[in-house]
Amino acid sequence: MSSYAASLGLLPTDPTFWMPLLLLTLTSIMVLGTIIFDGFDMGVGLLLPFAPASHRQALMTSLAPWRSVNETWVLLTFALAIASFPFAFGAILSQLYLPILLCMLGVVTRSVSFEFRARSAITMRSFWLVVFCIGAFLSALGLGLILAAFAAGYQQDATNIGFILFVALCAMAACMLMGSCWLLMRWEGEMRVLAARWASHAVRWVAAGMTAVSIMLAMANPAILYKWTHIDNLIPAGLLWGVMLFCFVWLEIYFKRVRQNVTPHRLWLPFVLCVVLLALMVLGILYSLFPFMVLDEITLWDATPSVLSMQLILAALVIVTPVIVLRHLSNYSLLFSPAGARL
Amino acid sequence: MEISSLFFGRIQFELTVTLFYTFIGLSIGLAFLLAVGFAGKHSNESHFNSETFRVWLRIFALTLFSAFALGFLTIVEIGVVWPIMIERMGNVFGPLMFFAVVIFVVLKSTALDVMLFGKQRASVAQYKWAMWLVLFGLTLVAYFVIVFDSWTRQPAGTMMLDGRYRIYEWAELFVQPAAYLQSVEFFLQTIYSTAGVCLGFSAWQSKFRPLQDGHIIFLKRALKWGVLALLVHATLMWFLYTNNGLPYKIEIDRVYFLTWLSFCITLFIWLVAAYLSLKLFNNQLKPKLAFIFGAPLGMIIPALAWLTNSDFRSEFAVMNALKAADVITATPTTSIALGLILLLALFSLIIFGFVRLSGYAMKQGVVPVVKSGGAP
Repeated sequence: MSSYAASLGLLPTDPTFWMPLLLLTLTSIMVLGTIIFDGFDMGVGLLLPFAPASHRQALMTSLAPWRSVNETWVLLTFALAIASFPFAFGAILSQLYLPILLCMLGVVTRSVSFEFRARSAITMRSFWLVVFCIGAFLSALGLGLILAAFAAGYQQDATNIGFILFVALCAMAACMLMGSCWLLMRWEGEMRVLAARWASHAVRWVAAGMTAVSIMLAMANPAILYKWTHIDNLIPAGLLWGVMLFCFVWLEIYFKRVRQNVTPHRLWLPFVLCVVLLALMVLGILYSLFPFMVLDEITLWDATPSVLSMQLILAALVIVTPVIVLRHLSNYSLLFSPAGARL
Repeated sequence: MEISSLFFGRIQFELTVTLFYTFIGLSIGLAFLLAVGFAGKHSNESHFNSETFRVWLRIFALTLFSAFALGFLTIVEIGVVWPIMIERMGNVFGPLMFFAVVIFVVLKSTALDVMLFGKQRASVAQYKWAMWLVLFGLTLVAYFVIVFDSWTRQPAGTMMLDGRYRIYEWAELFVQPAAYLQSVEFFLQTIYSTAGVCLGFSAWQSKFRPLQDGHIIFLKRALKWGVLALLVHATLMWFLYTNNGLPYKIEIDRVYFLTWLSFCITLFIWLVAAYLSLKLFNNQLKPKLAFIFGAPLGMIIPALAWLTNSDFRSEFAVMNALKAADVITATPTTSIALGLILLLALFSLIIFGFVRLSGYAMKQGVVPVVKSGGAP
């Protein structure tokens, strides 16, 4: 850090130096929160068409205790990212008009359809359920397109179309994996076995997708390849890949056991391992990019607003974080409770 | 090509903001009418358990969910349609937008949750506090949005340096007279347009089932507040239009003023006529069909106000400083057109859901919220 500060001609204690770092850390945490909590929500939406018709309404209703807090993650993340890094997001948003619009339209569609369904007559609930599924599809597709465009260095030409579509499918699989792990935790009997079946399909796609994104990131950007293959970094990089491999193998074995009707233990563990995998992915991307927000063009420090603006953003965060954390903790404390489907 | 991008970009942005402006206004108006109608000194638990309160709380919830969705889309639209604008005015836009979002999230996590879901768990006093807090919080959210909009008309407290706006005085930005004035105008407008919506919905209900006593009291109060707000707003606008002794000047287009005036006069007649109908015909709305028109009228007025108000400066993103054509996204026109189609589909869905569910609540009563009971 000192060398970064020195290269910018700043002291590490200078707010111009540490405030952007703090904002990046907070934004990354928010991004991870969005992927996890909005991810399982999206996943359930994507899985609804595959669920038995008799279970669909109950599956959607089982999201109710978390919907209100889940949907705030994406709003806060987007607002924080734009407020903290306006000068990078100007460039990024220009490149990602359609993927971001698709993703956000999906978020809004899910939000509206969920609330409207909860308040509609029984005859209309199926309609809003279908709309919720469409919303989940749009969000996951948008998310995948954003990730693919980012990994390919925003080159959205015809040569990359196969890669972009593949990553979009894998992003959907990642959401489905989160959704399945959540269902596995909260349901019993037939639905649990079904969730394990979905999860075991999804986990392979996720593994393939993460590998594809990593390869594309490294191939499209020599600096990133150098970072990951440099002799000093081989041990942490190997460790990271080792942990990811372990998680994938363990998940595969676990889902197989559930499918064979072996009574599973530690039902929360697959969900936690998925969180670990996603956290490693976010960390990996951050590490690959750092200190750039737009590779080789805009650094973290070029992207942030004036110190005065950052102070205001941080002040707002300091005031509201306790309220939001308490609220989220009170809601998510029920997340890992067994047989919670009967909440 | 550029003109097409600007055309489609502007349409989708203006549509999103117009709908957001309408729904957030309606939410604030309903929060106000619910607070003055039910959270007064003499209100008790029976008031909160009444059918009238439950129906209007349901409509408030539907309005607010729509406003939340549209507000989120507005932020996204600013980012994707005007990305260069964020680069130019990120120092100003970022914190203001973030304040609005954070206040909303806190509100959603606390008072709003109590108001919508905590009736059984909170005491009467706590519940009343929650209602007033929701009103205060929503107004504050709207204030930050208005401050930004107002700043784009009169960029106070900032200077342009290296192609970017930089703030030299935050206080000047927050307390600019134009923002105060726009906020007052907005607040007044929310009250009378909501009164129009209340009238329309009540007339719709009376077509299917008689209005309860509590409903008539609520409606009369809404009509009174609506008429009062309209008169105050008209007076304020008259002073503004003639620039009568105000220390600052705001550009108001003649077309805007006259269009707004004609709609407001119509609404005024509707509200007064409804009040007289309730007085003369033993608490009945006659003719019902005509009064149903109050609802679209109440919703069109804020939308029209926003559209005509923003139209006169359409060439600029920041008045006389930054042209909209210079800050539009470089995305191909076809993508923007596709985005517009998707947005139109979503807007239709939101409006359909809002109208259908509100109408259903009025016609049949409130459907209990599906909140739990996951397993079959």
